[in-house]
Amino acid sequence: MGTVVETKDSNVSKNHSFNALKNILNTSLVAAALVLLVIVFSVLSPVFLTELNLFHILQQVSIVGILAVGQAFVIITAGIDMSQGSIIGLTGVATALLMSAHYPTWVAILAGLLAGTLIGVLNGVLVTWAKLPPFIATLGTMSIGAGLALVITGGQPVFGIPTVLSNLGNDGIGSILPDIALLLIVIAVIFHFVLSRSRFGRYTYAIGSNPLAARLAGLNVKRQLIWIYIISGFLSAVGGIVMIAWVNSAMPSAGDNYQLNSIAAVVIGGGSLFGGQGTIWGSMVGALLMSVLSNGSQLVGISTYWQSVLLGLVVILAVFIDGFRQRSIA
Amino acid sequence: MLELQHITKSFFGNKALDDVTFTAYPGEIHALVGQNGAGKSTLMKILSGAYTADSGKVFVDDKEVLISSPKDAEGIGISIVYQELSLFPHLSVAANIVIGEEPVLKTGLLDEKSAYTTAKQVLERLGVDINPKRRVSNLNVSQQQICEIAKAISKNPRIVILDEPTASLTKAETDSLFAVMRAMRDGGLTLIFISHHIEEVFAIADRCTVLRDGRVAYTGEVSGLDERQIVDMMVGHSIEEFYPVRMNNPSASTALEIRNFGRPGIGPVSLKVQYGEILGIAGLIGSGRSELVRMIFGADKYTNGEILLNGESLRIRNTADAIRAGIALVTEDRRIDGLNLSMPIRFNISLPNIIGGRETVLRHQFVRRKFEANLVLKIAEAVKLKYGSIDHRVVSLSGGNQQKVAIGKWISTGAKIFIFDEPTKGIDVASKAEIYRVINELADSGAAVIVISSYNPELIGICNRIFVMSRGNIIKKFDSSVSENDLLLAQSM
Repeated sequence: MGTVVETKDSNVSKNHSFNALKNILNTSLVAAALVLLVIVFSVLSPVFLTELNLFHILQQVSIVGILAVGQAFVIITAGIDMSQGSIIGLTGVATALLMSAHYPTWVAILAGLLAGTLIGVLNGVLVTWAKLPPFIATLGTMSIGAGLALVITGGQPVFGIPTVLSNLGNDGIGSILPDIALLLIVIAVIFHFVLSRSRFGRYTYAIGSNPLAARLAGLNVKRQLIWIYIISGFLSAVGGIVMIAWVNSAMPSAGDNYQLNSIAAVVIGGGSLFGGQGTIWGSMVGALLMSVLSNGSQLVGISTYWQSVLLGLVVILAVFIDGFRQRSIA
Repeated sequence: MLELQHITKSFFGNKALDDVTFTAYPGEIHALVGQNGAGKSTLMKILSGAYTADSGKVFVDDKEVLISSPKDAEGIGISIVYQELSLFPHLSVAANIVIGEEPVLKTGLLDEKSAYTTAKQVLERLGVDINPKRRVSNLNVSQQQICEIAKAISKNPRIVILDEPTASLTKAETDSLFAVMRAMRDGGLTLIFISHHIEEVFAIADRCTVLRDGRVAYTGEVSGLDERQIVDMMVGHSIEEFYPVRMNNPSASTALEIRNFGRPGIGPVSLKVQYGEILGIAGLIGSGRSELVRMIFGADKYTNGEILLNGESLRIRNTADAIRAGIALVTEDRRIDGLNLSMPIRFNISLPNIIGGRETVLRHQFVRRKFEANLVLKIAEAVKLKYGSIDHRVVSLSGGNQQKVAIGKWISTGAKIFIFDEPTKGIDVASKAEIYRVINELADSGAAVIVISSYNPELIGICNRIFVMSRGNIIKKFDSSVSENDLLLAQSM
């Protein structure tokens, strides 16, 4: 009897490590592409591998990375959050206005986070109770958020960011790890465990892979979805604070179209818009790939116009290869 | 005239049709009856061109025909009206009737007027008064069914096959459909009518063919037969002995009771299930069986009556309430709402346990991977699941093994009341036997079990009692000694 149990246990651990290996392999193509890009750019540009430039890349990836964490949850439920970019703008100007009106920094930050989170609540309610398709619901709130940011600022940038905050946005640990990248790492690690190990994560995949089965298994699908849109809204608001800390001012249009990059990051990292698939780890590799691509191509002298073309090709190629691989597995 | 001679068709060595020969004449309604699996749908698929017969010939008006596609069937003059409606609900009746052959003006635009006239003529031929301009979604089910027939007639077929057209109709709607069918017959068409309601065969058919296990058990006049004789010809064989031997000792204590339970159209139903008992619910598709159990499970709302668990009244507002009360529902179609197919076996089996939140698989909101793996392995063994790894996706399993996962996920909740809706639909014989064994073991270990099935032998094989549902109500109660013939007769009424 004892031996039987033992075999079972070793089976479990073998399956487990096999699975972990498979997970890494699944994102390995993207990871390999990332390594390849790093090598190519290092050869082509002497500046690429310098501490200063790496610091810069990590700063660049921070905001998109934070957004991609929230976007990953939404995309796994077969949804999409188009409002992330305008939440950045709205949170930024709301926080900055309060700061320039000499409210305590923490009050201003909390108020800004609240504003962004409320848009997330609205998204969740529209998708669940009003039964709007996620794309339409968040497209609407995207426009509302962007409009409100312009209304309260009159379209002008807001200055007067306290030095405490702007220092945090630009300093780093040593000369290699920016504070805001550290924040991204903390957020990504926490949500990685939430998604892959917690009850909340299981619910997220359950809704994305079959909402009817999830409901019949006892899940309150609406409540779960609302929470997921709240998380995406909240993390976008965090992105908005990071943005003003980093650039030392708040522009109402500062985050416009950032959601497109976060969607691309999730999808490059193995997420499927049909739901049920995607990881935080993959999304982070996807976000990093895009940052390296844009930074590196700038250094080797590719114009920003062509960078956009390049990025588009990468997204299409990544999803095509992934779809090809999925089909060959099935 | 449609004449079939010696039609044989095998799948993997099993003869679905074996030397089927019969003739249906012009100006007659010819009923085709048989139990589930008798070969009716295979025959239909051969006539529609979806399958090709291994041997045998089909003659239409004394000429041999080859049907290798639905287009061929249409060209020959065979039209099939399927049970599932194939109308476009947002289009008008006229647009649906002329679909695929829309009249076009010289300008290239659709000729709405001519479509309207065509539709009106067809509907008049059927003797019905439906405005061709109405949207199909505004019609009731029988009117939609008639539209479906009108669509078939518009192609001027000589042979029309109706596949269970009355399955979702009320008595009054059935009568108006029958009037239409008589009008078609009197217009000289050959009608083949498939139905599970034997009384309908007597109400409308001139002649009939009874299929049993792929062979023709009878073909000829309906007059002179009685219902009993038809049922005997449909059943014919004895129950195979692959049902498990049961301890069969239901306890005296009632697990679940419902009183005057239902919603408009379903019920009021009252019934009790004991611990250790398997209660079967027989009935035709559309008799309200699935609707009833979905209400008990909280998947749909009930409006009247009450549910008692262990003698105490219980309010079930949603599936979570039912699961907390220890009720499990294995749904009719695992692919639609039973499983998260693209997720691993592990994920599927532990999901209801995690949602139930009894802190077994979970600790402080997080999954205990090792505990989960052991639980899943234990359940996989209990249901004899054949799998490579518990981290493989469910979609990679065979149908029978998928069904075992769909059952196993409920064992993980520790449920005491199991409801199975068509537990062996579309799975192979070996898996069926294993699923009977699992159901049986659940009952023997003290669970109360309700099994819905359209396959009578399996109900007789595993149940202690069998209730028959028809049009939303329980109309007959049998114990396990009921004969297959009596059971079939009861639900064909």
